[in-house]
Amino acid sequence: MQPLKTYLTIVSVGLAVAVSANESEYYQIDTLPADHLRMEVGAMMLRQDGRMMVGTRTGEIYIIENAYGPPEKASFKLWARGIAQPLGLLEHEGWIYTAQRGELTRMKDVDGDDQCDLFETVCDDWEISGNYHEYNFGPRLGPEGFLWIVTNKPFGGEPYGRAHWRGWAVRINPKTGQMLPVSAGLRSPAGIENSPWGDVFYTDNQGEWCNASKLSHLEFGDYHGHPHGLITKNLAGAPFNDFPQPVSGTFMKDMRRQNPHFKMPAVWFPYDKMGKSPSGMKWDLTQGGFGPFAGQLFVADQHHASVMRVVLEKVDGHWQGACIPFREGFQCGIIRICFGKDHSLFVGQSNAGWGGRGNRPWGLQRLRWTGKTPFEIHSIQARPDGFKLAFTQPVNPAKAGHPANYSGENYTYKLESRYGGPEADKKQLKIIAATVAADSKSVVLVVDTLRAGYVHELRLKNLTNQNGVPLLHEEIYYTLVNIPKNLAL
Amino acid sequence: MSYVRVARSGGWFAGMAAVLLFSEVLCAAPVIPGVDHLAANGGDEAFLGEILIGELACTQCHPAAQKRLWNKESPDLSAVGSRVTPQYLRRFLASPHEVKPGATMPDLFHSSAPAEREQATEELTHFLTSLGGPVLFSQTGGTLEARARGEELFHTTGCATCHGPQEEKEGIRLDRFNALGDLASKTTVDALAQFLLNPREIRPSGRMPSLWLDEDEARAISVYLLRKQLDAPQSRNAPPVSLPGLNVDYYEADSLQKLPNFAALEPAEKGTVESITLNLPFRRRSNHYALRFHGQILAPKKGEYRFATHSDDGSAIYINGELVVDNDGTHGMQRREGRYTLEAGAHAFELVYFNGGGGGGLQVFWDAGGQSGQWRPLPREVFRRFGGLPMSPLGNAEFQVDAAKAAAGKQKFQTLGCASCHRMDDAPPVFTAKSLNELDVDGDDGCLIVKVRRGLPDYRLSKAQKRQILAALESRRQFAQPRPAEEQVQKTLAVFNCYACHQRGGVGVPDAEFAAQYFHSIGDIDLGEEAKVPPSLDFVGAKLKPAAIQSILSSQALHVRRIHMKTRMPNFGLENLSAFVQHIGSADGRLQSDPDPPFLESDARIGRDFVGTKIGAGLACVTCHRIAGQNALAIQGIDLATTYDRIQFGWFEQFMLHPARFKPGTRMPQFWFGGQSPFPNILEGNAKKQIQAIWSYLSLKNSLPLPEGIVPEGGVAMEIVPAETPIVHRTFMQDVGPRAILAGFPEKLSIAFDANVVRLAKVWRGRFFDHSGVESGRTDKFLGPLGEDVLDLPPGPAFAHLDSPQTSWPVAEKTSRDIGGRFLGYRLGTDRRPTFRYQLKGYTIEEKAEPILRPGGAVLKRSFQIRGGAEDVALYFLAAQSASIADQGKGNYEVNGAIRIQLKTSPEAQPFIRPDGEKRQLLVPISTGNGTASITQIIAW
Repeated sequence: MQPLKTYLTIVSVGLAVAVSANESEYYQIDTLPADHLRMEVGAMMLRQDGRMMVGTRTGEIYIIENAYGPPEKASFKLWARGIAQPLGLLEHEGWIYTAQRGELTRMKDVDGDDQCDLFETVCDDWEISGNYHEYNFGPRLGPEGFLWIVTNKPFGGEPYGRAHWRGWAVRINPKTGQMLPVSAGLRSPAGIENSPWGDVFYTDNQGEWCNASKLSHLEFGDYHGHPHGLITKNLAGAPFNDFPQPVSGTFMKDMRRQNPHFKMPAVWFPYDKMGKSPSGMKWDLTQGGFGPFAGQLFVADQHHASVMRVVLEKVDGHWQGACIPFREGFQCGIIRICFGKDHSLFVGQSNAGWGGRGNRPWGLQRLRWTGKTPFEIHSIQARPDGFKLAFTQPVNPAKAGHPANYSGENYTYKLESRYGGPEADKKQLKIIAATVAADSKSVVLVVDTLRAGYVHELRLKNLTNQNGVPLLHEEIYYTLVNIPKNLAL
Repeated sequence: MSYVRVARSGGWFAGMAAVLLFSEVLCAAPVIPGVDHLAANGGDEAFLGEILIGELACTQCHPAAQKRLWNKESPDLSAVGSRVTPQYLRRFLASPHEVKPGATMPDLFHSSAPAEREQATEELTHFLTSLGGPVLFSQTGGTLEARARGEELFHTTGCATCHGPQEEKEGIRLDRFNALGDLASKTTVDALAQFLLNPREIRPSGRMPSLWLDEDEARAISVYLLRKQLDAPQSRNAPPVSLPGLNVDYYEADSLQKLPNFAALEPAEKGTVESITLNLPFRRRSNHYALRFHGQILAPKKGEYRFATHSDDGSAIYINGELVVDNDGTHGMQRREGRYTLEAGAHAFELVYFNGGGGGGLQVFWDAGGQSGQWRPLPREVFRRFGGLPMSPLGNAEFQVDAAKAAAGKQKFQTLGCASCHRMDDAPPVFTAKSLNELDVDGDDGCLIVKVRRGLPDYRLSKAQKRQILAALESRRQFAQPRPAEEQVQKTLAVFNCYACHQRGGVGVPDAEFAAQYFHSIGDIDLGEEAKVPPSLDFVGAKLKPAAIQSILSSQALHVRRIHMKTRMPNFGLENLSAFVQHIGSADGRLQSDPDPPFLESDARIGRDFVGTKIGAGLACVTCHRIAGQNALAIQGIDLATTYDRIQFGWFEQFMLHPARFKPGTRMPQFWFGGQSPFPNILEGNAKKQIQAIWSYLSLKNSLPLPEGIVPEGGVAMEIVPAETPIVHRTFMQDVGPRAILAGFPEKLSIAFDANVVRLAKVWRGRFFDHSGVESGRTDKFLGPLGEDVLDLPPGPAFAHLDSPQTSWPVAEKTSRDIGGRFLGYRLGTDRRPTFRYQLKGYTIEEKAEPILRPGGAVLKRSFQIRGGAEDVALYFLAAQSASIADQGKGNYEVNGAIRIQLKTSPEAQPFIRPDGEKRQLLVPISTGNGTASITQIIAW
């Protein structure tokens, strides 16, 4: 045997064609002129009067004038300023709500001159220590009229001492200002969104006690894994009885044995394959105005300057599903996305404090469907013995029916104190059969190596539609928390 | 070697005791962790055997052609008696593998009769002790503080990566580490600290490297490693060691107006002084700091003593815990005295001092009564500080070197073979053995057979180790030929156990659980694992310039990782690493075929734009990288101005194109994603040219012009200017807190409201505010006002309920919230001026604070509307608080001789002045008999 060699091979300068070249055929990016305004978008919403509103991380709130016409005609009208890091906007019962660092605030333009005059503190029951990382995201309107907010844990020094309710999801009664805690263990929950069916979800960023970024369902009494906020767990209103600090190194799928409150994610975003820093998200309620993905969830990423798709289903009472690449090539890392009344997706950006792809430090872009349908994996469903993949267009059955055109692995993650962790316990998937449906719009895969609690990464090769056009994106990552026992109807 | 998972029950020593019981079978084999790393990854047996032959110093007895064999130099024993105790030498010589599991030293008496063994070890002990011994016991003692610091240093700087954690930890195998043996009976704090400062003086092989410890660190680690001495009754029952001088703790604290509660503060630095002085090397601030000198004072005789301090600002002296001199408060140089009766001897002494702002000074005097009745500066001879508890080696007994035994020992040292490895000029070896080439690998004699015969050394080699050595001997004809470059590199990494921290070629990835517990960053720097775990050495020869490699191996100058990593790159001695230095370049090759790109000034300009935040041309590298000593905007990553001295261009170019190929999991974004430039209009969008432009810029090193986005420390980065209309801005502010609401008016007057305590906190004139402290990147600097004439309003809440007019005004601690009520928000008028609203005990209070113009500049007008009320609440408004408040009639007051206050209230709410502690307060009782009350306050200063 030879002594060991260094395994890496010398790399050469490869100028590969960027993937986004094809994406632009179906979804086109417009850039709104915002270089001059420090448009570090942290919050965005469609007002009930049809106008778009954006909030910046430096505290300005603007109304976009001419938001839907030619991009160069768009301009920004200052509605309010001096808000402490507004990272969400919500219009509700005549008020505009935002979570600032220190409080939930509601705002109103009383005299109707498009400038806000009234700023009321609704709730300031959460605390801040004065650390930069104590961001608050939201609010979002959840079930029973509560306003939902998720809070970041601090990172580094805490000038005014350890603060309570950091790393928590809370809901607030807008009438009384009363705060009711929902769930703990959040790390850096850069996105919160209410689903069309009412459940509230959030995205969390990879880091300590979060080996991979994730999308998770927020429910009362859940614990999402980060121990920072556990100092708060015995305060009045907290939904837990006492439970121990998590032990580093446990597989998340096995965490419930230690702690019955532990919540598995709905979707893991494997690091670097599906972004690095998931942020804002929106369900597509355009009913086809934004293309063939109506009802699906779009999730932005602050590092990759990309937007991904997520499809969800409920299996054994748990929301789970898959993430799929959708569009990249934006000018800067994305914090918020929001559909305009013209069904285009407004994409608000800022890289403050975070390195990422792109050539701008901030900005606002708009993603329009060109009307042309891409050949894509439309959605996926888990089955007791595999998956059913649906496509946006009928497939070439000869190619799609060939099991050798599918490959992949499954892997899972531990809950660890380290900063992000590897794909663990990885195994090759064995694709036994691929059966194309009669309408050629879906394929059922039989996989004999399904494992509950694992990401199932599937790669599709050589598939084309019936005109010979290849798939725009060939990967899909299904987080199979539960394997369905019966076939879904 | 057979591994055993040690039951973790009673701490490390209990674990070791368990090992010792079974050591004959389990733990005797020499531990050479680097070889295990290679073996675990399928390393070639002859290669591993060759390393073992070197590490066991076989060729010291069996001469051989040396090209492939690196002979490990054995410890220098010429002064061993001065650092190792006789009791340890005796035990170690008799059974080295039991006393120090994993030792590479062979057992020479394994088959001797007990009496013979005892006599030989006794004589050798006398000989070795005669070399500079016996050990002198340490003059200084050990403290619990030093022990704790040593424990932290041992487990974070790198000691534990080779020697293993010395604490109970789940899931970490101890048998792969180099055990330390029974140090507490072996040596003293002084000798061990001296060794840690420069291990190669005694162990020239460099296998034990230095970790760039300073003397305090070396002593702390020694106290920790010898902690059993500290726990021993002989230490606990002895009087503490006392040293001349005092301990001093240095604190940084803003807005000090009196001596702080030191117990509640963490010192920023600690040190010692010989006499009382403000000239401390570690004092970074000239204002806003406090000091606490503490130790003992020696009273020469019984009597009454007088003490005095003369200070700016406050100071105080405590003796035996009693306040003797009270010179507290904010003031210029001011003298205060006190008296105290002392018995002759030592007494607890504490001197505290603070400087809030302005000038500073501190002098301390005493009148040692009776003698001359004169004041004199407190002399340095009277100060004593705690030097810890005495520490001496365990099992210590009187020892006299017996000359005859020493002489016999010296002879045995030469004849038994000790001198073959431990060379001594006046004791040359007499022992001889066959040369390596003459050894019969198939024979039934020698060091490798199962039962080594009497007279030959027994290394307690494991079966695997014997197999590896035999495999190496089979191929010994090749020993004259040097190994190829990559194998010489691997050999270095194994011999010096670089694999404990670094991986290369898939070998040596630290165990994840070990890494999680023992690799740490300094502070919570958000660089992920890159800030904690030492880097991979894949491609290191293509990455670093040869001069940089030499520098990193022998000095700290170019070693950038130690900025944020607790683990330190050790110093193994450059002379020991010549094979690595010579071969790492050819082992890794170069990642470029062309020469470095030429420097072009035009390129450097473009490169500067790329590195900075310029819109449409900036990659904003400075978000995460420091540059030329300036802080980065967000994450404090490696200073880019060091790049040119360290990095080869070829690696730089490839790393820029494919960061994750070189550092999997890195936070560094792939800016040229898919090879495409984010800036297609600059340098034709050509990735290579763009990277060359950055290289040209970075090649200017520390003299590079700073890129856009970097504002040097102290500069103003994001100034808010209220030019036309008032601006309300919520932010963090120094002395106000994380929920400050500022309002800046075009009249050049600004206010800061604290929504946590609920009070108006500050007012100033001139420029408004720089909000970069919170809002550039990810900083949380609490900046103060940009302007001047800063007036701080009283520290508590503006309104409070008092049980009686004598009740003290509530105090706002740093973390207290809502003591001034509940903040409700603010409303902007048509003039865009804010009115704040808050609620307290059934009252709703509206406060408008705004400028009114006066010759000399704007002054502040506060208008309050108070509604509601409750029967049992007595609400007051705190209009002023100061050492002096003068009532000048008709609602006019002068505060501190400098601030003029004018109050308008309803006739039934008469303002009054009252004392509260040492302060005086101007209070207005609130009465809302007719539904509302209003107060107007004008403050001019």
